[in-house]
Amino acid sequence: MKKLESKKRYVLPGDFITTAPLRLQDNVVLEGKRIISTTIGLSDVSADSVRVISLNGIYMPKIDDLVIGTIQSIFGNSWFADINSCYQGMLLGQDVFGRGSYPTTSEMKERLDKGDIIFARIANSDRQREPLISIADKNLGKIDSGELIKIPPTKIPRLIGKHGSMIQTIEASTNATITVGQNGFIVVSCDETNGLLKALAAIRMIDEQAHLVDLTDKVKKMLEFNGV
Amino acid sequence: MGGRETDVVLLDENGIRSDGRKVNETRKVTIKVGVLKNADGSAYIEFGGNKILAGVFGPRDVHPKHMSNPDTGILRVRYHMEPFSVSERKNPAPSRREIEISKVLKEALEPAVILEKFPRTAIDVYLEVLQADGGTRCAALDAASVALADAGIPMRDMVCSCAAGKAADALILDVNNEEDQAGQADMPIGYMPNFGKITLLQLDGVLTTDEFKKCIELGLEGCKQVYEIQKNALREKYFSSGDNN
Amino acid sequence: MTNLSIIDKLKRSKILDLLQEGKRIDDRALDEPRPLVIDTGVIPHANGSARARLGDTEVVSGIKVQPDKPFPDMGDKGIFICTAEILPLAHPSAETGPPQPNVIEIARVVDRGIRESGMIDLSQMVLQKDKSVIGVFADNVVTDHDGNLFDACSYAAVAAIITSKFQNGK
Repeated sequence: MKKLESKKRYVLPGDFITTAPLRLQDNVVLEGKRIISTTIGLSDVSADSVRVISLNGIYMPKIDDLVIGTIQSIFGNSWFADINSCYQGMLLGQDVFGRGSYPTTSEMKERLDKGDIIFARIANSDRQREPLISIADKNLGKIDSGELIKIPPTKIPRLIGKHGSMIQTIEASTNATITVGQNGFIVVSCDETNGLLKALAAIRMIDEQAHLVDLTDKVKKMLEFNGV
Repeated sequence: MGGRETDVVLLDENGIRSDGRKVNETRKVTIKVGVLKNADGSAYIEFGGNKILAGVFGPRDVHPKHMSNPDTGILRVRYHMEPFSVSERKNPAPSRREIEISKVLKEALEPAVILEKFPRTAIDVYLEVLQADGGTRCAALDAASVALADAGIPMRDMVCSCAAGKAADALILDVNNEEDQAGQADMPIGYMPNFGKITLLQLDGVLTTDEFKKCIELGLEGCKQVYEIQKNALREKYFSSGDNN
Repeated sequence: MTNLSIIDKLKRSKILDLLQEGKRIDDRALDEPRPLVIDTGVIPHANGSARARLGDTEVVSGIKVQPDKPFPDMGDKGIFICTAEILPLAHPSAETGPPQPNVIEIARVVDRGIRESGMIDLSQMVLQKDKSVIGVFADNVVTDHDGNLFDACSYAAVAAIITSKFQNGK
């Protein structure tokens, strides 16, 4: 067994966690008095709540999350993007062309076409229909260069690190620019091949060891090593 | 089932079965998790001579749209046998038996999967029998549950499965192919081990009420044994210290 | 396989750019195949079997040999039938249902390769002329689809056939 951060326990679907009357957060259900895990992951019991940090699974859209998506189709006045979820993100033509506009399909294609990658915000997510995404803000929009990779969305917080510390460490040491989507999609771009490969390797390492202790040190060590 | 004439001795005077097992012993079971590249979750099981591959996709879009449910995800299960999986080559087209088994396996998994979390989507479970040797539906159900967990589909419990039955007047655990052909009863059971609920129960053959109760107890013992194997298979992929991608 | 997933534009241009330089996205040379692994006897109950892994593409081939009726106009020849199926678990866009035209084509191309090579001598497979012959069925199922099914199915089918055992252990 790998050594875990303290107080977390490995659990499988159906595993019992506690009978304490705690607030239920992610990936747990209450059956009678028993709180059980619904996924493979790490149980995390705190003073007033309990959750399981899942080790796998798709992304579930949450309002204001920043996500990376790939345009799959254009239908009606909207683009539809793959956002690593069971739902596609819906980007309204109006979001790009302005309120009250009715862009034609070819106008829309010119701006964003199948296969284009965008950095967007989840604007609305009710359970009745596809989540709405928006690229209206300054730092959002089409991503023109780099390499798109994917890790389980549950590992993104670790990739970002406290106040962005982990991601900044990687960027500083490799000169890469890393755009991180909370949905698990990441775009890495770097002028030097070496830096690009190192950054990708660092991300892979975090993917494989996200929930272990001393990950930060391991990543730093790997980045300092001059070979590839 | 049907007590076909056989030269095989199903149970000898020492209580040993045709394949060397005791009456309360299952065949050897091994499960590997995450064996396919494209599927969202997958598992491969060998249960005695049964070799079955399970692949899961989802939650994902439903086509045609009218088949989706606005309030909940739907579960779709396809149990399918390859032409080379049985002694006389089987036509690749789905048989009525495969269609029935697909249905009961779906119903055996539904209580465990938290479908309400994904309205308007489908979770697809594909079970491919590469080699059949009696008890394929149980082995398939065991693999399906593991593949669903591997895909990250939230479940309130795992589902484990094993068959019990009767041959040569004795109640036996995990009926193999010969015992199925020549025996007196075959009862596949699917079970949610933490909830203590049975989600699959079928009977082919004849049992008295008392035999039936004992057979269920015996079958549940087998289910629980397979549950341990399912858990270890998942632990090995997700929690072990080996480097596995 | 009618519609594979959409490749994002960045990857697509990277592939094309690399090709301009004679390179490929997985570092292979232009004329370099992916690693091939073939295991035979993976389905012991069948007469013959093989699993071919070509990169991440995986195909399982099973051979069944059993008595059959000859084709009406070929009473002096045994039967060889080759099928292929992309299993729905092989790829997110694989569908259930009868095989699509592209899969039927794969089956028929693999069939012709085996048939025309003469590795199976159909004239030696007659039990009773015009009445009963031996049928050899090569059923290929794709369990993981990552391209080049023509080759992967051929490798699996041929390996399965040449390691097949018939009733008298030949």
